[in-house]
Amino acid sequence: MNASLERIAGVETIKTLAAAVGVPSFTVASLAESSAVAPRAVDTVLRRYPAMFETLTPAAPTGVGRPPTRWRLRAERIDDVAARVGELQSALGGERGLLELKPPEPDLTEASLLMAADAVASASPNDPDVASLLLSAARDSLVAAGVDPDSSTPAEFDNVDLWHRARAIASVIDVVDACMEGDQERIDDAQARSLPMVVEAAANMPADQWLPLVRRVIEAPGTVIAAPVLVGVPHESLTALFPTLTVQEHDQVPEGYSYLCDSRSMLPASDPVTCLLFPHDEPELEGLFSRNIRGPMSCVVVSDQPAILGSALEHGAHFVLHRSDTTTRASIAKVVNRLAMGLGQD
Amino acid sequence: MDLEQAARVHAGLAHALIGLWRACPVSQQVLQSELDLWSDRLVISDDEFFVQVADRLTLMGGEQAVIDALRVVQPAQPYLNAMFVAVVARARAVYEAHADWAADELQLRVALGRNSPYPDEPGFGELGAAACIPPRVDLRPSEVTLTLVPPRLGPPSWASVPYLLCHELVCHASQAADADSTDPFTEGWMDMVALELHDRWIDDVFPWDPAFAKEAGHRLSDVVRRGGPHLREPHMTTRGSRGTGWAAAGWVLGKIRPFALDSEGAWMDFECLSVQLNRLHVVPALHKSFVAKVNACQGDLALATRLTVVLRHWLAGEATPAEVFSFK
Repeated sequence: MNASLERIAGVETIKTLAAAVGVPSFTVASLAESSAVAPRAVDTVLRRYPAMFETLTPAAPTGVGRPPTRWRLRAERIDDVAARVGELQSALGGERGLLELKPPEPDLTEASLLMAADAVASASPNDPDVASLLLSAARDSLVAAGVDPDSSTPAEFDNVDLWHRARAIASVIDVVDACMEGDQERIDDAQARSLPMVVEAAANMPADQWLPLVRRVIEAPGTVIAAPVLVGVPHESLTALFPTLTVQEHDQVPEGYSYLCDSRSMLPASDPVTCLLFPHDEPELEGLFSRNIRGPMSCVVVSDQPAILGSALEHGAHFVLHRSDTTTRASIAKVVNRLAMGLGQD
Repeated sequence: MDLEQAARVHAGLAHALIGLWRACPVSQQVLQSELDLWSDRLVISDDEFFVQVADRLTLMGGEQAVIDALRVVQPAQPYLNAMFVAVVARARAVYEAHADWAADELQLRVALGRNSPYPDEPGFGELGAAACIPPRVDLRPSEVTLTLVPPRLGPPSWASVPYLLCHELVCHASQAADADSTDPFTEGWMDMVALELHDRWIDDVFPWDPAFAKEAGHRLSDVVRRGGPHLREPHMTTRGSRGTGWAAAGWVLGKIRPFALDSEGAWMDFECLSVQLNRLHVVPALHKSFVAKVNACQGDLALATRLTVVLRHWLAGEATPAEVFSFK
């Protein structure tokens, strides 16, 4: 049997078995109607899986002719039938559309997207058991909404806005899931992929819904600097922390400074640019501010000296205390990314 | 007139007009404007209020039946007490039939508000009542708080009180999970159960005009599940949760139906399952996961089949409610 016919046969078997589970008994005709397959396909399934079915003892006929045979699933085999349906559906892979399931009502689609967003925004890695349930709820809500965010193009959907929202929510699920796993590379990858999707979805979501999602992404302990930064030359301190930062050409870079972008970032390089300063001491910091190099840019001061905090705050800058490289990377990335998203200070 | 007197007289007026409201469109508009004026009204006695309103209706060409009804208005509190007692007794009977009832010594507390808690645009006399069960002390809810909003307390609001009481007593009085306004199971799934029970009980709970109360209850249940661009949080998410809970409940009821003798049998099985599920001590996150999974069945035939199998096992007494919750 060629592959196409095999798939059709598989689809018909799935539908027939699933429909049989849903009724206490059936005739070939009734099951064919309820499962939307041809009667001969039902007949084929009954012959292929004889151990799963049994005939019911017919009542004494009252009319002319033999009544149709009534069947039912054997009670002790219904779990096996469910397992078989699962195996066959998995074998369909990306062709589950062949099952031609009815799409959800628009109201359920919208409500499910709201639930997905709420669930993922509420999932905290600090409570992994509850977070696991909430992520499951979020993923299933996307399925319930009838949206597969892995679909390659939004053109497959009537409602492109819906696709953008679902895609953004799915990306945030990946970020939270990565945080629960604690795999830094996975966190960085998920965060880098999620940020542009969440930015794109902002136009399709009310702020009440969008802000908790973008905060989930920004608050993740990722190290991807999603927006361009301006750093004084030499910038060994920064490139030691972020080897993936590379110098880019840009207009109006002050003398003695470089414009850098993180090669892992998937956001297009654009304003606002954040200025990162790595002063050795307070006098150096004061000198930097006195030259007013940053103009209207936001500024982040990174130092291992807590004493510099006061001076930094006086000049309206953010401050990151350099402790370990690991935590400092995540702290710098979080501050820069918050500023790039317009979320301001913590 | 202060808020307390306004609530008292508006409730009395609302009850007096429940049988006349639908037939009197002119009066509806006039009465709503009278309700809106409560804070500026100068009255000494409750009777004086009814005289003022009757005079206004006469001036504005209101229907005579409405004007006459305002001459014999009774205090509304006894009617409210009767509704509460009737719903508590019936909710308790349902829970004791299928599981257990966890809310002894329930009391009704009436609170007053100046503004409707609903973000929706109301019709005349609508959206003037809301209810909740405040956070528990010692894990036993002791009261149901019914909030009345005098400027919106017309007959439709009054007639929605049975539905509000049914929702609180069926959905929340004996819920075992912690309260969470975004819980699609307690707010949505159980709301569907509450509304069906409301319809079955309404002849006894609101004997003065059961049809009007049924309509008002359904209207309010629809409103609090209705989304729309006018909504802001928390309404957006709470309504989404109700909608998904309703959808999941409807789907499961549909799956149970073929295994029952008739619709009534299917309903009794579904009611039993719902009450048993609501009595399980689980975290709200499990409710959210369960409801989402049920709704995902519409897009996943293998998942739908597994859930149907679990439901068949439950119907046969071979699976516990906890196993239904944790199907996957």
